[in-house]
Amino acid sequence: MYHSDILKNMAKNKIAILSAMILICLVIICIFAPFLTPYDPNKQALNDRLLAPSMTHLWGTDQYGRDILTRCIYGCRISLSVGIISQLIATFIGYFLGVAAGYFGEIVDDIISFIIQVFSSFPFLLFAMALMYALGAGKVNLYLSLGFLSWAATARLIRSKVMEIKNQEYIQACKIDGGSNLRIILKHLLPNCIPMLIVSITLGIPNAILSEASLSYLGLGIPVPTASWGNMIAESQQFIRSNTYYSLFPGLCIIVTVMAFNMFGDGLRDALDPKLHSQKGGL
Amino acid sequence: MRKNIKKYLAAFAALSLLLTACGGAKDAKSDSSADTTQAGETKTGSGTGEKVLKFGQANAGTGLDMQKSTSSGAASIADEVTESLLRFNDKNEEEVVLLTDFPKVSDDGLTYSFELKKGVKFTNGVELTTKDVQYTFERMFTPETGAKSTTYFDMIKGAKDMLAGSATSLSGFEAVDDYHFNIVLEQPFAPFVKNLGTSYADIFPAEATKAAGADWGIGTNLIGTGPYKILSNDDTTEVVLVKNEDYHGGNVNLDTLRVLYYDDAQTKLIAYENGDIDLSDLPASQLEQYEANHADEIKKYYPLGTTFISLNLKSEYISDVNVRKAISLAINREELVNTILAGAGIPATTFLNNKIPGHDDSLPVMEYNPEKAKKILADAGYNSGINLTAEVRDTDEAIFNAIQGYLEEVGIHLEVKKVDNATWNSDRAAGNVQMTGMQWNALYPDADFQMYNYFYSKNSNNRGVFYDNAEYDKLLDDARASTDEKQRAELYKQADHILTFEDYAAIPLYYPQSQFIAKPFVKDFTVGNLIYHFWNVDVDMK
Amino acid sequence: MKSYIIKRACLALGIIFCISLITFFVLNVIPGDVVAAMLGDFASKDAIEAARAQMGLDVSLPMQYINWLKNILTGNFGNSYFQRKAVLTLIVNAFKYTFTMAIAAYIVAIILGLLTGIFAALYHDKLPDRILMSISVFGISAPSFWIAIILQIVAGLRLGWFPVSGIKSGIWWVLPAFSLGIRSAATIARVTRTSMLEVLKQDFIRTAYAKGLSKRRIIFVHALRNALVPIITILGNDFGVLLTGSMITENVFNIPGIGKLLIDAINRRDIPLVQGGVIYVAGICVIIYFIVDILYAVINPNIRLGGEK
Repeated sequence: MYHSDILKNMAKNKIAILSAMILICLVIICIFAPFLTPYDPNKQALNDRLLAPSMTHLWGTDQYGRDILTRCIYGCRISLSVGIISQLIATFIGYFLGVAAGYFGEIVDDIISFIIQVFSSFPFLLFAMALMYALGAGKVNLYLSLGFLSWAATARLIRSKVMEIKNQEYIQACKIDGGSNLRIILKHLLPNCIPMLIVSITLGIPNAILSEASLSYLGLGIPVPTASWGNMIAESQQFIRSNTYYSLFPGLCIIVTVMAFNMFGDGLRDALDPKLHSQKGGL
Repeated sequence: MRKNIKKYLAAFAALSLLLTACGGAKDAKSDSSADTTQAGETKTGSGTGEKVLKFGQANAGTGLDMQKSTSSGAASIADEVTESLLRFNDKNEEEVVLLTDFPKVSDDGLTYSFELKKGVKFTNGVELTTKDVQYTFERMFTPETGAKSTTYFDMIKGAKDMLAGSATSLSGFEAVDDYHFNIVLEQPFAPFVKNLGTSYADIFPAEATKAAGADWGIGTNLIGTGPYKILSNDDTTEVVLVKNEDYHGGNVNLDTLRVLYYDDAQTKLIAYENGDIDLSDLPASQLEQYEANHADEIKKYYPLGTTFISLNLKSEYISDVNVRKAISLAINREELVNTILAGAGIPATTFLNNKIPGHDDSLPVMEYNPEKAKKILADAGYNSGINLTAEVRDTDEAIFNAIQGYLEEVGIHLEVKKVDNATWNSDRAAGNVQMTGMQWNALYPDADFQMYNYFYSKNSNNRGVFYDNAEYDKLLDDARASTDEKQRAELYKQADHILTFEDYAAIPLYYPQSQFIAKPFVKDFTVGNLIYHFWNVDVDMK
Repeated sequence: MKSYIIKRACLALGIIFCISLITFFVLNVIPGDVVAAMLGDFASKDAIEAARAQMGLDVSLPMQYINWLKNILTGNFGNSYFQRKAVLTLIVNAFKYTFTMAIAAYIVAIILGLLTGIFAALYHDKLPDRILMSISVFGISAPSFWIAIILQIVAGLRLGWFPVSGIKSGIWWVLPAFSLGIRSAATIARVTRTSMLEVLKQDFIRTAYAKGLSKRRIIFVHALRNALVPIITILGNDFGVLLTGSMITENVFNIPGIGKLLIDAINRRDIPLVQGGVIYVAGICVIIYFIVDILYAVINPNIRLGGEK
C-alpha cells in the first residue's frame, strides 16, 4: 500500500516523470557508451582539430581532434559515478552518525552534533581542494573526499528524524523486550529513515556532480586525458571566443543531468513525505 | 526577556551597519583613486595628449625586489624602475647603462674594473656612487636578505663567506673612489659580465633600501635609476609607473605605464579584446584564434630557450640509452609544432638553442622514424612494450598528451600525471620524476646558461636528472675558464653533441616562439628574450 | 536566553578551534616542499635546511601547531611565505572585495528570489509557476563558473553591456554578482514559494481577505513574514558558500578577493596564508550561523533552549 501510494504520487508529478526518464536515458548512455559512438574518447587526431559540428562529428572536435560528443558521453560515466558513489559514502557516514546522535542522545549527541557543525562550517571547496592535493587527483580519491565532506546534512536530518520517532511505543516496546541497540537501529529506525535517505542521496548527487566539475576545472578532479565535463569546460575555455560550442556542450550536459536529479529528487521528496519539504537546509 | 532580545537585535543591526559602512567607505576610497588614474587613461585618445600604455600580465606575487624574485613577470616591472650596470637590449646584445664603458678585465681574467657614469640620479634625487653598487652586492650575499639568484654572482671573492655568515663585507669588491671600483673573482668565469647585465644585479640606492628594510620591493618601496618611477602599487591589481623626467638615458616617450594584473589568461585576453589593456602576452594555444581575427596585432619573438623532455636517467627503462633514443625517434617534432603549438616554435635540431653561439647550424630537424624506434626497442629486448610515467605541470600538459599518442605507436605506454607546481618541485627535487616537460631559457645568448645550469653533473642532480658524464663536465669547465668566444663556442658544440646525440640525456622538442599582442597604436615595442622592456615604446594616439 | 547564547558562543569557539586543527594537519600532509619552492631552483640543501629552521618548520608538527596557536591568540597570523606580507593584511584586504561581491550577490539573490517566489506562488500550478520553477531549477543546476564564463563572453564582450573584468565601481560588480547570486536566488525562490503557499492556505489569510485587506498587503505583510525564517536560514547558510564558493568566479572576473587569494595560496603551499584564511572564513561563517541561530530563536521562541529543532 505504501509503495503504491508513492507511485501514485509520483505519477501525478509530470516533471518528476520526465526527469526520471532523462536519468534512465543517462544511465543507459553510460552503460552502452562504447556502442553509441564510433570514436575513441581519448584517441587523438591532430589533423581534425577544433572542427565545427558536422555530420561526422555531431558536436565538433576538441583541440586534439577528439570527438566532443564521444567525450561528453564518457564524461557522463564519470559524473554519475562520482555523484552516486560519493553520496553513498556520505549517506553511510551520515546515517550512522545521525542515528547515534539521535538515538543515544546526551553526550553522544553533543559530540556528534559538534562534529556535524564543524563539518558544515568548512569552506567546502577549499577543503575538497586540500584533500585532493593530499590524496592526489583521481576518480577514487574524488569519491572519498566528496563523500567525506558532504555527510553532515544527512546526519542532521537523520538525527532529528530519529529523535522524533525513538519515543514511539513500538520502539520503546522493543527496548523493553530486550532488543539490542543495533537491532533497533537497523530493524526499526532504518526503514523509517529510508525515504529520507533516498531523497538526500538524490539531492546530494547533483551537488557532488557540480563539485566534481569545479575540482576538475581547477585541475584537481579527474586527470586528463579521461574526459569529465569539468575538465572539458576547463580545456574549452581557451577556445570560447572562436569555438563557443565546445564550452557549451559539456556545460549543458552538467545542467541537464543536475536538473534531472534535482527535479526527480524534489518529486520523490514530495511523493514520499510532503512534510520533509521544509526541513532541508536548516542549520 | 523580550527586552534582552531587542537589545541583541539592535546590537546586531548596529554591527551590520558598521560593517557595511566600513566596506562602503573603503570602496569609496579605492574608487576615487581608480578614477584619478582612469582620468588619464580615457583621455589618451584626444585632449590632454598624455601618453598612457596599459599592459596586462599575471601577478608574480613576489614583490619587485629582483634579488628576492626570479620571476620574469616581476622583472618586466622592476627593470623599468631599477637598472643594472649593463643590460641586454631587445636584440639580445649587451650594452652599458650605468657605466661609461664595458669593464676592463685583467689578463688573468680575475679582476674587472668599472667606471660609473657621473651624474646618474636615483628618482629620489640621490646620485649613484660606488657605495650603492657595493651595498647592492653585499646585501645580495647577506643571508638575511634571502636573495635567490646568488649562484650567478657567488664567484666573486668573499661571496661564499658572506653567504655562509662568516663575513659581513665582500672582500672581492674594491671601491676606488665614488665612480671607480673593481670586482675580483675567485676563478675565471667568462660569462660574468653577462650576469651583471641581468635583472638580478639591479643596483639599489643604499640609504633608501636600508630604510625600507624587508619592505623593499613592496608597494612603492622601489627606487632606481630607471626610465620610470612607481606612482602607486597595491601589489594585487595594478602598478602605475610614471616617466622619470630626469632619466639619464634620454627622453622617455610614455607619460604613464599602467601594469594591470590578470592571473587568468582567458580573462586577460578578454580584457584585451575589450580594450581594457593595450598589450599582453599571447599563449601559443591562442595563436590560431588570434591569427584569424587579429593577425596584424600579433608580434612574434624567439626567446633563448629550448623545450625538451627532461629525464631521470637513473629511473627504470630510461637508464637505457636505447629507450631514450627510441623516444626521440618516436616523436614527430614538425607535426607537434604545427598542430599543438600552431606553428609557434622551431622543431629542435639539437639541445642548444639555435640563436646561441655554439649551436650547430648544419643539423637537420631531429629524426622522426617510428619504425626505427620500434626496431631499437625490439633489439634491446623490450618486445612486450614498456610503461613510463611523466609528471608534468599545467603548461606542458598539451604537449605531453600529444607525446603520449606518439609513444603509444612504438609500444611505449606513457602515463601523464598532471601536478601543480609545488608538488612537481618537491617530487623532482626528490628524484621521483621519470619524465617531465621543461622549457629552459637562457637569460642571455651564452651556452653556459643552458648547458651548465642544467646538465653539469652537480646541477643535474639538483634537478633530478642525474646526468654524469666526465667528458661533458670537462668541456664546460674549460669553456667557463676561456675568454676566447670562438673557442668557447666550439667547446659547447662538442658538449652539445655528446649530450644530445651520444647520451640522449635530454629529448629536445623545439625552440619556442613567444608572442604578444598589441593594439595598433603601440609603437616601437619589441621583446628580445623573456622580459618585457618599455624603454623605447611609444603610443601613437591620433 | 543568556545561557543559550553563552552555550552557542562556546560551541562556536570550539568549532573554530577544531577547524584550525584539521586544516593544519590536512595542509601538512599535502605533498610539496614549500621551502624548496620558495628558495628557487638554485638553493642548496643547506640553505633549505637553514630556511626551514628560520621558518620554525624544524620542530615536530604538534609543536608547530602549538606555536601557531599561541601566535593566533596574540593576534599574529604570521607572514605569507611568498607574498612577503602579513597574512592578516592580505586577508583583510581581499575580504573587502569578497564581502562587497557577496553583498552584491545577496542583493541579486534576494530581489530575484523573492519576486520569482511570490509570483510563482500567486500563479500556483499555472503556467507562470511551472516556467519560473523550471528556471529556478536551472539556476541551481548550472555550475557558477560556467555561468560566469558565459556571462563574461556574452553580456560583457559580445554585447558590451557590462565591463568584462575588474572592480572599479558599481557597474563592475554586476556580472560577478549575477553569476554568484543566481544559485541563491533560485533557492530563495523555491523556499519563498513553498512557505507562501502554506501561509496562503491558512485560516488567518482567508480572514484577512474577508476583512477586505488588499491582496498586496496580505502577501507582503502576512505571507512574507512567514517565509522569513527559512529565507534567513538560507541567507545565513549561503554566506559561507558565497565567501568560499566564489573562488572560481573571482578568478574569472579578476577580483582580488579571498577565494582567489586562497586558491593561489593552496596552489603554492603558502600554509600560513591558507591556514589564516580558513580560520578567518570559517570564523565568519560560524559567527553568521550564530547570529542566524539567535535570530531564529528570537523569531520563533519555541526552538530556543536545548538547541533542538
